[in-house]
Amino acid sequence: MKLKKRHFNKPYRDYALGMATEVLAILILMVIAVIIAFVVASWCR
Amino acid sequence: MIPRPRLADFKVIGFYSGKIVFGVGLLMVVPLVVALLFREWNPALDFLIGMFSCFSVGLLLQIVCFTRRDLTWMQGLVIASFSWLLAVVLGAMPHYLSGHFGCYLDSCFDLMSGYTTTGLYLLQDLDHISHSLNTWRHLLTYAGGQGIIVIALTFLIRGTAGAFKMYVGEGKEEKLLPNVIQTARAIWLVSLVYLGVGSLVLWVIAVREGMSLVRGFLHGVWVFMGTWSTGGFAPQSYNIGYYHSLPLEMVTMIIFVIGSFNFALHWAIWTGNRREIYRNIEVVSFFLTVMMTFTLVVVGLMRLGTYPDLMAIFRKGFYHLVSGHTTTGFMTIYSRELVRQWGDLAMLAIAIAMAIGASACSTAGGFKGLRVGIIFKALFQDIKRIVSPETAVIVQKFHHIRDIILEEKHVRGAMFIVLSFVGVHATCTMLGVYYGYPAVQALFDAVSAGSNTGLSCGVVSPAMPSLMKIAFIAAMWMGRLEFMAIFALVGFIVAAVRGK
Repeated sequence: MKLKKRHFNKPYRDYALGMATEVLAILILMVIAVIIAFVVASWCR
Repeated sequence: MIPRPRLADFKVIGFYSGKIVFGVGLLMVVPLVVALLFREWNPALDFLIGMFSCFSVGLLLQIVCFTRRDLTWMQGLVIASFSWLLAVVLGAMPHYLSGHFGCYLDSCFDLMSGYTTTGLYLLQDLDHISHSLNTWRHLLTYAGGQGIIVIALTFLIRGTAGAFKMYVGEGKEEKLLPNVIQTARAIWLVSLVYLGVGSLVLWVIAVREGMSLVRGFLHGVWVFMGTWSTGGFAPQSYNIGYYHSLPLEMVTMIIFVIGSFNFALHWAIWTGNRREIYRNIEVVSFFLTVMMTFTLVVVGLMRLGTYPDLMAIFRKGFYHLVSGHTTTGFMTIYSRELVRQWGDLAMLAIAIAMAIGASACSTAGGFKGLRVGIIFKALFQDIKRIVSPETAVIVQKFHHIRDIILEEKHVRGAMFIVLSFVGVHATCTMLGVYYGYPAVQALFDAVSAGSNTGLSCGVVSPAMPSLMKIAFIAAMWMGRLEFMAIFALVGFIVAAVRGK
């Protein structure tokens, strides 16, 4: 019974963690990209 | 000597194209239900006529061309390109009957724009169209993002070994799972889970911004479909600017970046390989090109003093840059503001971002980060070879789900697609210049169409010459299917006419 329940739940937990990873990674990458772009653009100007 | 296609070839192509057209008819059930729920009787009739046409042609093709043969590569590719054309011509019927289009060509333009997730439109009076037509437009773009062949593989076509050949013809080459039907279902699983979560978040935001529950729900679902598929269709003519909502802009930006990721990347992360997010060549390439093109946008906007502070530059500049780079096409400013306030440098930076596009095997268009990454890796390899001793063996690798050694076939494949895109962009730009549009504006909208983006500086309009409409339809079609299937269709027609 316990095994069956774990088998059912695992994919959904993985999907949720996967979605959270994607959102977090995008936010981090975008913040870095924006900061670098603003610094370089200010320097170019 | 080119061998002339046999009757069996025509039968296989007709049979599978019939299945796909039948699938398009089934899709119309959704807007029909919406029309009945909101008592939109005239649009309901339009969708019934559209469904009848799709079912008639689909069933007729399946009966006349009935076959149990499996597909060859040529047949698979021809089916992919031919069925898209059929789906556009038949699917445009409810559009045309709605009375919001000047001619049937305009409706076909919108259909191709929807299926290819471009987002350019020639529809007139968008703010007053029916709920059902709005649902149909957004459903088209959502379904087109996954691919109409993927839909057919998921629901209508059962386990043929040749199914993979049709799947490749639609510009997707990656198998998430060993079986192509399972792959198609995995793509739908990812998209449907995000549909549920994303629509809910956008619904809450829409209600918080003052919409009623029902209207907020509809806008939430429609905007999600336009966002996730990197389509760019929105229910209002002022696009995302209509909402004047920073939270909605932020959430849509996150969704269209996620939507522009490779489905193989989603699947890898969702099945536990989370390190892939920062190792994958497409993510790295996307991050670097976003940074470089956004720098150009910021320099352009700062020089002209378009916006008063960095926050305004971020909110407008970054949103449009990422919208263009992911080939979404959402806007929070009017089209002509690009020309009048942004200047040529910022517009060219966005055109470069649109041309590069996002990930392969995603809902997005453009060259794709994978190919840009491969070309740069090949360049580095050549530089290393030049500076190393002659006897040195230079091995270059790239990481996409697994480590792959860079070979000549990867570089040749990437260059072929990139050069084909450049050819399409150049042709459409020349045509625009021929008809009297300024070069930068013609280039901007041509790249937008060819890379399936949808940002426009005002060139695309119902008043555009018919030849340009046809050229843009072809550009969207070629850009979405990534040329090989189109070349196969052209070759098939030439062989049918001149073969022996």
